[in-house]
Amino acid sequence: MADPFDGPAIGIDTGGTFTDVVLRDGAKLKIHKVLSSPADPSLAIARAVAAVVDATAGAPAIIHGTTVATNALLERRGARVAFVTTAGFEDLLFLRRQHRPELYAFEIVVPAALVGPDACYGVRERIGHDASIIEALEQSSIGALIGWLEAGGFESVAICLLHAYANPIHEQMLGSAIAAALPAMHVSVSHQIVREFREYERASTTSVNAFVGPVMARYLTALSARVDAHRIEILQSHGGRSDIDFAARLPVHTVLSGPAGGVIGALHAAHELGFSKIITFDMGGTSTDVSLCDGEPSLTRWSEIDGLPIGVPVIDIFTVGAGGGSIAAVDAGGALRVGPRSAGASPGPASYAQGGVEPTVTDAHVVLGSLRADRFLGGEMQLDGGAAAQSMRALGEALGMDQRTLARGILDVADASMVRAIKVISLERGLDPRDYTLVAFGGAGGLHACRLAQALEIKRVLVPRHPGLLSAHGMLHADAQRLYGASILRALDWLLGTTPGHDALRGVLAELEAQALEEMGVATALLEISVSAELRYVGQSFEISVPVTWRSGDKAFEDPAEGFGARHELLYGYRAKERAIELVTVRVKASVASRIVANFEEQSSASAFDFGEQHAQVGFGGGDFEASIIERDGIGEGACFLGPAVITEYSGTTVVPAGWRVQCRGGHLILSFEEGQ
Amino acid sequence: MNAIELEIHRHLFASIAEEMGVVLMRSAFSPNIKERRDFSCALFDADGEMVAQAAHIPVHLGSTPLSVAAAMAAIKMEPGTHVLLNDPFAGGTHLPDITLVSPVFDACGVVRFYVANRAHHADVGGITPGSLPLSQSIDEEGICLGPTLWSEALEDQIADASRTPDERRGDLRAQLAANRRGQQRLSEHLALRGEAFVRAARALQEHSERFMRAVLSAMPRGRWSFEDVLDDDGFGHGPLPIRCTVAIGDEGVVVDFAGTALQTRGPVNVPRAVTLSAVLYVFRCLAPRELPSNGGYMRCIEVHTVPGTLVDAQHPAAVAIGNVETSQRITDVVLGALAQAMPERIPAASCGTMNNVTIGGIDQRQSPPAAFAYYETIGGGSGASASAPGFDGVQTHMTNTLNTPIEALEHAYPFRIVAYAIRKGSGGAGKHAGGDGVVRSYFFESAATVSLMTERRLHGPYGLNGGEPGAVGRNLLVRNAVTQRLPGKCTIEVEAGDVIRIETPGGGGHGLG
Repeated sequence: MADPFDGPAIGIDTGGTFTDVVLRDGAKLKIHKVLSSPADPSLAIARAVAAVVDATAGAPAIIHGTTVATNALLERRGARVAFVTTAGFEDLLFLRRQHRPELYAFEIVVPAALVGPDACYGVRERIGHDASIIEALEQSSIGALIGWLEAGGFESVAICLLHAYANPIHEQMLGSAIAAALPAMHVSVSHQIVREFREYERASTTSVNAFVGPVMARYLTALSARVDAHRIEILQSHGGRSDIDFAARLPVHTVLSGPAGGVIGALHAAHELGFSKIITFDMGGTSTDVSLCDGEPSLTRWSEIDGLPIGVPVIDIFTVGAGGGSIAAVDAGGALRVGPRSAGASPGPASYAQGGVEPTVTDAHVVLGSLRADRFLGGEMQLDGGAAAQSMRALGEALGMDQRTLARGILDVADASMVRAIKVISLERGLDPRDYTLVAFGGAGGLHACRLAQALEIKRVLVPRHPGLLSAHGMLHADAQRLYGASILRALDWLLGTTPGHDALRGVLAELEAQALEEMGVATALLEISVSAELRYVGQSFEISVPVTWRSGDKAFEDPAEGFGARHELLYGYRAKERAIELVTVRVKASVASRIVANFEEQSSASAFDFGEQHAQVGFGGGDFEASIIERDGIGEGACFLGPAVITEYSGTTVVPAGWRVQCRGGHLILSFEEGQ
Repeated sequence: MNAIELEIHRHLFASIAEEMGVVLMRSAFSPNIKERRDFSCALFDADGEMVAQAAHIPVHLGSTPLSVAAAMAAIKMEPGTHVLLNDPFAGGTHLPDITLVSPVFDACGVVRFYVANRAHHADVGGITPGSLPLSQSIDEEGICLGPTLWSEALEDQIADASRTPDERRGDLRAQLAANRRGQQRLSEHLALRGEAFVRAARALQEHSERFMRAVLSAMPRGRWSFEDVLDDDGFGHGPLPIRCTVAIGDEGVVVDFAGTALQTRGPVNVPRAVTLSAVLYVFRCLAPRELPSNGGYMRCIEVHTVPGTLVDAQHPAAVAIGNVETSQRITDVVLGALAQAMPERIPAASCGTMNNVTIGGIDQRQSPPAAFAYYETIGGGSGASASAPGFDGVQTHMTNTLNTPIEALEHAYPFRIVAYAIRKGSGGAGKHAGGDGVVRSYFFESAATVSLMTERRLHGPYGLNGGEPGAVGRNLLVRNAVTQRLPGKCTIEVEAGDVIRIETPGGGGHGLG
């Protein structure tokens, strides 16, 4: 069966202001933007689809990135949820891990829980860590629970029993009994969502799913009705896509999908040019997201949204509170701080002339000339250079600096926090950023990319084509993908060395593989299965993921001990040969790789040298230079020129310092630092 | 150094300390370090003054600098050497906290920086598993090391002293790995930036000092005193008063503990380092969160203690649990004094104890049976304030460790948790009620030794402005269906089938209800 997404397809990214749509038909791209319709996002989608699709030529499949679940969660507009757990542990969601989010503050502020204290229910049952049944679940308990759920008027139920990852029998009994007795109830069962130990995190994940489930299901039903001719798939937080039924059942997989499209888009752009190791750098108005990809996105198993732990795979993105709108101010000790306060979209930076008076990163760029007042948003919005300069005045006087020195300083400080973010995702994980290409996008990404690259000794920066639509475009390249995991918590020697151990491991892997085949509904031959193991020395509690060879045919599992030792040594400087290794979790990734080839043909028709060039005095890190001001639309395929330059386009600006060479290939800009300059 | 360079260097130093923390946490072996994150990492200048600190818990704030000072005074470090210590009377706090100090040299072979990390080890010997015993002198608390050069032999010595030698070796290696990472990063920057890098460290300390002086200048001037008590020392001595007088003036703050009880027989004494940490914690909380964590702001705060008292104990005082319990009461009295100065900002007392539970014995599930030692702390209610009620079931003030997941704990140790809940109604009443404490029950599958080191079992956390005190905590043993109350501090042998139930105190209320 061919993947319908290999043919014409549409990527749709619903943002707060705009809904972006990209139609890909062979080598041709059609792009469109419509205003979002926050009350019912499917309205804007229907409009956007109608604008790009020729109804007589069929209905292309849609890949959609949605923030419906995310927003329901952040705004606490989810379902009325009941939380069901083992008796004695009803307060699990409130006890959390007992820590307070801020160390040096007397008042403890934690985002509101998703479940009320009166909506928690304990069921008499107990499973042991070794999967044994310590106390059996009685039918009478199930009946009492159903009565309570019915009387409570709940829309959705989250079930998380202790040690259900080791033995899900009681959760299964509860889940199927509730589904049978209360068919309208949205049921979320912990072992089906995250089959791993750590009860609070698993319970939290399950309750998030229960909270957003009914909202997401209603939205997807409405969406399907509006674009009923199209097959729809939904972008997941791990960067893959899933069918609509999966998304309705397990919407927790979408709550952190907002930045995933951009990362996939950045990676695809890099792949088109033959690069596979990238650091993505997405700098927006209030914050900056960075992530590292080694041929594929790095995933993390444990993340948080609004203070709630989520234990499903998510692209590992590190966020810092520095963006174009970040406000510069002097602290009580006399150091210059940039952020975390932000002017946001309203009033926005001083140069937006909407009432903002405090100096921001954007204003610093306007003062230095790297943001061109007359070319913002393709000239649609005029920036107020006078207001930007005025915003610098008081702060500059306080620090005894002229405006340009202060503006440079603001950018240097903003860079320092972003450099730190990139170090967290690279050096702290044993990876050298110099081996990577920095892929910049977001409104302000291009303004800072070369500066950060220089600070980190990164030699190459990539600014993809249509950076403002990168997310919608990226969705077209998301693979159909499912990720499965199961906690094993057994000594590796036992698993590999004895028949019962071997059988247990083979059993789990075969089960996960069968589940993937069934759920993804494709032929075995099309499915790519890869397996990894999370290992640690017995006694450690942090795991290292190591790929393992698993041949479904003969069900053989190769010893990953050597790979683990090497990785441990790389990360922590030593390996402990005498210590036993424990296999904590096995993971199976099942994907149908998208077989779309590079669409290099879609190119600007401009000739390579038709820049319509202007010049201006622009402040860079090293001083003021006479720089070329170039419209990106005028840069043709194959064009090549040297900085200092400022490249403007609708959705962003790219600053090219002296010593950097720009090349246009496949519509993308490759910026490389030339040795010896 | 200008405002811009200051901020850039602050990021630089902080990120190095944080990276050390990541290495330590990820490569350590004991749940105490990995799951509960009971450790801290810091950078120091050549004079031993702190430059940056990360992954910190408050009780390490003022005490880590004293470890570095002790290491520097005792040993002239050469390249490639590391100094380890845990002696509470020579730079330590209590014996489980092992500190490793390593020098950073420049190209000319001159020390320019030190890196240090401190981690809580689950067992370092002593008379009960977990090394938080009901001791009568330091000699009963475990292996005690003044500043000593790190070597394989030293690693063996510590491992041999511990009931869990493999875990000790693993954790010590993780500590070494963390310091090496810190040394490597500092050396890289030193090579790249030279003297400017060293000067930046000084400038950051001066910045932090200016910052704190600005914070203090906004506080009212005056002197305020407050007194509260520890229940007892575990040997029938108590209540034990801790008294402080806080004086805020133009020159800074002086906190004087005159009037505090003399050091006592049981293990609730603390070395001065711990007292210092508690005072620094309170003033950090009163500063905006941007205050950089380094030695600069500490210069504005003077602490006076009398040697030989509970808060400045001398050898051979027992100190095992002073670090975790007495530190909370010191915080309570400093806050109680400040509440008179700034009633709108200071909350009522929080639960005031870490509710330390240590369980040790032989795990018969392993083949061959293996020794184990497990340690955890349990949160309680936080104190209410003029603006908000207290928070339920949370770690307060001098600790912020995470709990160990029940599913991880039952996998690793031969006992089970049979109840874990909020202790409803235990917060003090008031216009704003104090937060509720926690109930946690342990079911033992086999015999074990349990040490409970808890406070606020007799004297509840105070309320403010007419608010009621939080409920006192209770420690219960259920054996053969008979429930008996246990003392606040005790070591008992439990049998298979026994249940121990800990009920932690609520926080104090604020205002008339």
